[in-house]
Amino acid sequence: MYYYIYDNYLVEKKYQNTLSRVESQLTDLGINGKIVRMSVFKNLSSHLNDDIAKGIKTIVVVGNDQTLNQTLNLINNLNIPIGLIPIGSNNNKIAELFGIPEGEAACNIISSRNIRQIHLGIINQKYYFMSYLEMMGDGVYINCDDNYYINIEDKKDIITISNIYYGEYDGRINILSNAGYLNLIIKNKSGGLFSAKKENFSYFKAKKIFISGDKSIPILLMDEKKIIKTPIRVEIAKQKINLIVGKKRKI
Amino acid sequence: MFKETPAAAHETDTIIGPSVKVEGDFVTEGNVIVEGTICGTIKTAKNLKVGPSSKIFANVWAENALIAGEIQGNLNIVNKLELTSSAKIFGDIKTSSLSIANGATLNGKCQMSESKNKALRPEFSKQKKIELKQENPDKQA
Repeated sequence: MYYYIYDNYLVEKKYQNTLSRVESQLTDLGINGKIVRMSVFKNLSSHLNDDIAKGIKTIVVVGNDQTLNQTLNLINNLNIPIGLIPIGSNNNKIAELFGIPEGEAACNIISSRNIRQIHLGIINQKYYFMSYLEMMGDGVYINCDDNYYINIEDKKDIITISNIYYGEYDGRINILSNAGYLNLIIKNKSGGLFSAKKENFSYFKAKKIFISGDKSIPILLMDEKKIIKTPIRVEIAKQKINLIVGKKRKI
Repeated sequence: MFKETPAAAHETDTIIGPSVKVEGDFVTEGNVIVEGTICGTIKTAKNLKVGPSSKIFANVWAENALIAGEIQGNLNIVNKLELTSSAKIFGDIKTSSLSIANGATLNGKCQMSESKNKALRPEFSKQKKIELKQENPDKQA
């Protein structure tokens, strides 16, 4: 049995045509199932885990990267295969990376069930994330793999910790990893009023990253803002997810 | 060794930028580019490139190294060590192959470690001793 989780933003009128095309395609392929909608007022986690216990075989997330990330944190048993149907052009980097096209074309990917095990990042042993988190370097001390400390000398530096990240830096590095380690990128823009701004960056690989500071740190987790109290421990989770991927995947 | 080809760039594991200071034991398997400051030790199984504005207060172990900045510590390089004109080394060097550009500063001992290239020593033990006794000039008279 398939279980479809729709994001809250899909209620908007502009997505109705795409959604109806997706639903008819799913029916044609014979993989339609129960549909639930995410809501601020609904405790989806208990319903979802009860249904998984009753015998759901596949969970399909209909939305964007953020919807997928929220779903990962709702499920207790991550062994269940997870599919993704991206809708809307915003925040669909994971779908792009794993070769999943937008809209009804993604239904064929779900139907083909090409499953790959994907590493996940975890924050403070509680919150899973699939791609990346960002924070400012102000008053932050970083320890990597309990071996070395990184002191950030410019408060305006932006720190990115990624499990999977799709981006190019300085033409020198193209990060697409999902190899069981975290990528730590520290971006800095130097230059004053009268000189041209120059961007430089630092790049590290680590399995465990420990962030300490004097206060709580606002974190941008896949475009979703969260405030987390320090110390923050970011590492690769022992648990992997089974993601249904396309043939044109980049990893 | 450090040509900026796309393939070589993708192999870079660590870049320590100018806005960052690293303290502790920095051990990695891949290529390292340093443009900031490091205190402690650096060990890499591959290549190390040290930029002109970087400062390293650490003992360094690497396969190959290209140094353009300042290092206060000993260098143990397995293959090739290249010092550019802006390089400043305050420590001992142990390497197999060394290239020093005009203008580089090197304050320390240098040891070329490969055993087959050891300098040949004359075998003094096999030579007969030459007696350098001078005859007494008074006796001759």
